[in-house]
Amino acid sequence: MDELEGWLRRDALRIEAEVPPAVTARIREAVRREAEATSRARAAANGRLARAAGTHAGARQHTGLPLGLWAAASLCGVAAALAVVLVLPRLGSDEAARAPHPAAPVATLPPDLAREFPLVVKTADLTGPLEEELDDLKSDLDKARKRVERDLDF
Amino acid sequence: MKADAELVDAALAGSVEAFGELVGRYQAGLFRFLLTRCATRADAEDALQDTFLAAFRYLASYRRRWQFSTWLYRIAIRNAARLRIRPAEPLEDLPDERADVLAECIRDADAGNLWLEARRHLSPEAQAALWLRYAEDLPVREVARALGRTQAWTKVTLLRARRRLAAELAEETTGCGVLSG
Repeated sequence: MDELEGWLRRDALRIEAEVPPAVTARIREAVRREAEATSRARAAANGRLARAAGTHAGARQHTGLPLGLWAAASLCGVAAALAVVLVLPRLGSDEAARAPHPAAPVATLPPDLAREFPLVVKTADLTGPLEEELDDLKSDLDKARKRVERDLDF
Repeated sequence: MKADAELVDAALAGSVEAFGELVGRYQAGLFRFLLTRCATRADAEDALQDTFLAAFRYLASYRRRWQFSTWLYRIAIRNAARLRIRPAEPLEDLPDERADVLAECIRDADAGNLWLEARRHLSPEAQAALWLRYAEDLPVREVARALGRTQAWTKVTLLRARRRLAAELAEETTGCGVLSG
């Protein structure tokens, strides 16, 4: 096998692989163009960022609202949303705890028939509306959070 | 001579000249490798240009724990594969050089060349593994990385490829003695 490896090395070197100067020049030119395009794109992106920053600063100056006010308003919004989400389900559970237990299902079939026709009793699902309400509240909280994040970005 | 890492750093900082030095350092080896994989010399030249351009474009994604040449070969293998799967040209448009571009590039072709045999009898991946291991002297770990395979797969492929080539060599030697030199 060592002899074979030696032949592979020797035969690889016998492949004429002189890159034509035109190809080398073509590669260098392509790389140079790519570098120029990259630097142009970078400069344009920086310019856009600077313009956007200037616009936001101008808008803030125009409204005259200090950054602290924005932050305070946003925090108030978050606190209110949290209070709604955390307190409402607890109130609902208190009401549920105070509500009388549903009466046990009464067997309406005589025992001898009940053995042949077992009575299957299922509890009704009455928590659907509450769950919908909870979903709505979560959605409201998400919206409030996004609004706060957007405001803080200014 | 500056190390590859220094040139890469300079190129990342925007120096086209530093990247040009890397091109000069690796273009001959890459071109020789591409000649063994592409159908025509023009394809090999295109693949070479695409390889260096892609390397420059995505230089920031190069990881220093691998040799720079390994990364270049990985890109070159992909480019060569892309050229191989493009739609075939109509037969009447085939240039003469497509007959066998590798055979035309070999000095003293009458003595035979194992890379012609490899091209004829091995899969492109096995051929690339052989090239990277024995023509470029890359360690198995780097060969596996360039091919996007495990080291175990690479070792097995190298072993099978060598066995296959040795068998072909033995057959031709007993047949007509072409590769006896």
